Amino acid sequence: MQVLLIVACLLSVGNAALYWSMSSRFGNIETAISQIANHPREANGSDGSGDGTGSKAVLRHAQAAGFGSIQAPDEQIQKLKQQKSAYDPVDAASKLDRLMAQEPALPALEQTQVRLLQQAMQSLPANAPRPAGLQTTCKGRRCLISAGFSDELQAGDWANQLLLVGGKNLPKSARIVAVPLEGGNGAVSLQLYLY
Amino acid sequence: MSSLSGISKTTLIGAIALACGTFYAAPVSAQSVPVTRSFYQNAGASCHGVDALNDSKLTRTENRLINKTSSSVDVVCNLPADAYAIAGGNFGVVSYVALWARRYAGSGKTMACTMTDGFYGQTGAGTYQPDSGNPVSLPNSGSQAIFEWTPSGGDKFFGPINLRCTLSAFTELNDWFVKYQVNDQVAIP
Repeated sequence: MQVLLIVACLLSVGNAALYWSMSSRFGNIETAISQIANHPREANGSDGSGDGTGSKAVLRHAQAAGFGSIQAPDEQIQKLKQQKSAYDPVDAASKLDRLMAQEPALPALEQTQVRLLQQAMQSLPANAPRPAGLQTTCKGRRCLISAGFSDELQAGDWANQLLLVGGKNLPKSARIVAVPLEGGNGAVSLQLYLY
Repeated sequence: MSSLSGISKTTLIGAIALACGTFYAAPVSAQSVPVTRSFYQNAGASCHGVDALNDSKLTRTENRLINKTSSSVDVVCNLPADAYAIAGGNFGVVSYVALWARRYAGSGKTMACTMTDGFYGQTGAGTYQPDSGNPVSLPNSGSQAIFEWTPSGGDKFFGPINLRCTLSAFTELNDWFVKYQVNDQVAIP
């Protein structure tokens, strides 16, 4: 019986040590996931691959693991400040270009998409802003409409009107990116990505 | 009380129970519990014409935003949000958006709306067609039609939510609803 008592005591000590060790590991895992959630761009790779969709995916995993907790408003404000100062339309466009390049070709779908988009453009109201150098290209499920506008507001207005008149055949999601043109006169190149 | 070499049975059983109990004891930790929150408001307060000309064609009542004119009106709506609705910033928490509209007069009316999530320039934010696609038919009976946006593939929309609609002649917006989920940390023994 003494032997049993000694074994029981040893087990208690061992379990306490294991508990301490596991708690520490869980703490490290929580910290790591929290860092991924707070810095998804780094989590997507230092080469900048992946866009916001990737960011959402990273955090979705963190949320599934139960660590995507709400943050205090002060932390939110700090985070927003960082995000807003980090926005770069050229960078955003290049990431979306990369996603489009990775898309497997589907020639039949691409031709249909181009035709539907051209029909939608012809349906724009007469007072819609006039684009310059309009081009439409599709690759797989993704399409890109690019055109020049005298300013960002006109570009956004034209893109929004196109999305509204496009009807049920347009791709469900779109990203509107206005890349400033050189010269500093406010002219932009609209990159409207549909997917 | 019987004893064995000076150690009571109670002590022995207690030590064994402690050893076994430690194996099965769950650690006390914080666990995330999804909490659903929502916003609801009449459209008249949060929607405006895209410029003065469009705004001048709109009539507001306590709970309606009406285009009484015979031409279409372009409207934007910036829906309020709190700090939790923009929680995380990078991933979004909004799981559902709805907007109600109806015909004001006439028949065969339709309306088209798109939803843009997040703040201006937010990485990953996009513009989305309603679940049923555009345009949405407004019942001749005068009952309300609904525009709905549900994120696909387990993603969530960013808060705050922004809407843009083209109100065709004699149509109106009524109200909107935004649902979002956050994970609240609670201590689970």
